Amino acid sequence: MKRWLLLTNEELKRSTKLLVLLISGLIVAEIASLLYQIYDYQHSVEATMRIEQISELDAIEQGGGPLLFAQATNFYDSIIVLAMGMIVLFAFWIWYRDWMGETKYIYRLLLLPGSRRAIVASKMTTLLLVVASLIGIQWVLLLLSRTLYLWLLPDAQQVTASINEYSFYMKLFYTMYPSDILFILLMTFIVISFVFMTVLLERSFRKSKAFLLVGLTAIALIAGWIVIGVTLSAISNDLSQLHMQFYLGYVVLLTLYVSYKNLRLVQTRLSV
Amino acid sequence: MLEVKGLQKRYGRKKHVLRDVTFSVGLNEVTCLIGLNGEGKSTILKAILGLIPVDAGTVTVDGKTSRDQIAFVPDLQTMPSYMTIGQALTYMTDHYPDWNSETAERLLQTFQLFTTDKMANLSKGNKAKFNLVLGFALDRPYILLDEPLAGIDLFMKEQIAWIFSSEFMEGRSILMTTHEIAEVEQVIDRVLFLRDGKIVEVKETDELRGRHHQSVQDRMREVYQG
Repeated sequence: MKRWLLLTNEELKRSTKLLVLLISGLIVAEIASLLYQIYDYQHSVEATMRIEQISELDAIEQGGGPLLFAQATNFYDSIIVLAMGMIVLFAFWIWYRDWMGETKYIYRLLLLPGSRRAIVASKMTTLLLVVASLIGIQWVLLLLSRTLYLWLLPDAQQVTASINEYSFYMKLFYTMYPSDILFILLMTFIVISFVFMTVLLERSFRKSKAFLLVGLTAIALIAGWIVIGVTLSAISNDLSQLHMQFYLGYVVLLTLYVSYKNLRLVQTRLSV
Repeated sequence: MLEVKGLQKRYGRKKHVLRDVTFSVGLNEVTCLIGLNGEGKSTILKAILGLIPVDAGTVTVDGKTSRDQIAFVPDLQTMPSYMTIGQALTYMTDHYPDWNSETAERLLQTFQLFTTDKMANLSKGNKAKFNLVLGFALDRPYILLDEPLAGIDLFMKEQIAWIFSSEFMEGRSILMTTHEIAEVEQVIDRVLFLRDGKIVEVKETDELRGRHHQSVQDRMREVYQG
C-alpha cells in the first residue's frame, strides 16, 4: 500500500509538466471555441440587421433563434474526444518514458524490493486520477462557460436555463452524477488496461509474438460482439435488446483477464 | 555464495546469447566478468537480477532464489532527471528498508557530490559515482557492477576505482563487468572469460601473476586473440 502510494506520487510528479500542458490546452481550446461561437453568432446577427435593415429581434428570428448554450459549446465534444485521445497516448508514454531517453527508470522500478504489481497499480492510478481531474476541470469549465455565455450575449440572443439543462445538452461529460463519473472511470480503466497490455507484450516478447497476442485480443473483442448478438437473437427477440449490456459484461470480464495478464507480465516477463 | 547454474538465453530462434553459464561468487571476493563487446556480459548481470527472463538456469544467493541480497550499479542513470541527489536519497530511504543513509552520506562526501546537485546536470563521471553511492549504500553483501568505469576520463576513473580498495568493500562480494582492466586489476581476485555466451576460462589472479607471470590483460589477449 505504501509503495503503491509512493510510486503513484512519483508518477504524478514526473507527469506534472505534461499534465499542466494538457489541462491548459483543454481550458484554452474550450474557452476560445466558446468565444469564437459567440463572436460568430453576434457577427451574423449584426450582418443580417445591416443587410436586411431589420430589427435585432427579427434578425435573431431569421437566424434560427437565440444562440443555445449547447450551440455555443458545440466544439467541446471534439475537444474532449481529443483530450481522451491524449490520455490514451499518455497511457503509452507513461511506460515507454521509463525505457526511452537518458534515464532508464525502468531499472529502478523493476529492482525495487517487493512485488512488482505496485508498478502497474501506480501507473493505472495516475491515469485514473488524471481522468478524474479532467472531469472536475470540465465541470468548472462548464460553469465558467455558462457565466461567459450569459455575460457576453445580450438577453435577446441567449436562452437562460438552469445548469441541469445545460448538463443535459452536454450529456455524460458535463454531468456530475456519481454514476456517470464511475462509468467514465470504468471505461478509462478498460481502455487503459488494453493499452497497458499492448505495451507490456511489446516489451516482454519479440515484436511478432506481441502483435499476434494483441491481434488475438482484438479478435476476441470483435468476435464477442458478434457471438453475443447472434446468440441473444437466437434465444429471443427480447434478449437481443440487451446486446450492449451483455457485451459490456463480456468486455469487463475480458478486462479482468487482461489486468491479470498485465500483472503476470510485469512479474515474470518484462525485460529491460 | 552467489551461484549461477546453467543460464541459457536466446533472442529468437537463432541468437543464442548465453550458453549454460555456470559460476559462483564467494564472500569477500571480487570477480570480474570479461568479454568482448556483445558477448553477453551485461545479459548475465540482468539475468541474475531478474531484469530479463531466461530460458533455463537458476540463480541462488546462499541457497535462496530471492534477490534481495544483491545490489546493482548500472552504467546508466536510473533516477529521474528532475530529481536532485537529495530527492534521490529520500526515494531510496522510502523504498529500501536496507538503505544505509550513513554510508550514503560518507560516500557523497568522499565523491564530493552535493544533495542539491540535480541529476540532469551531473557529468558522466559524477553519474557513475552516484550510481556507486546508490549501490554501496544498500546493506547487501553482493554488488553487481556493469561497466562502472566506461566512458570516463582517467582522473575520474581513479577516483571511482578507489572504492574497490576502500573500507566500503568490507563484507562485500563484487561481480563486475569491465573493459578497463588496468584500473581494477590489482583488486580482482578472479576472472571469468566469456566467449560466445559461454564461460571459457576461470582464473584466479594470484595464480595468473604467480605461476604464469601474466597480467589479466595479457591473459585476455591470449584468450581472445589466440
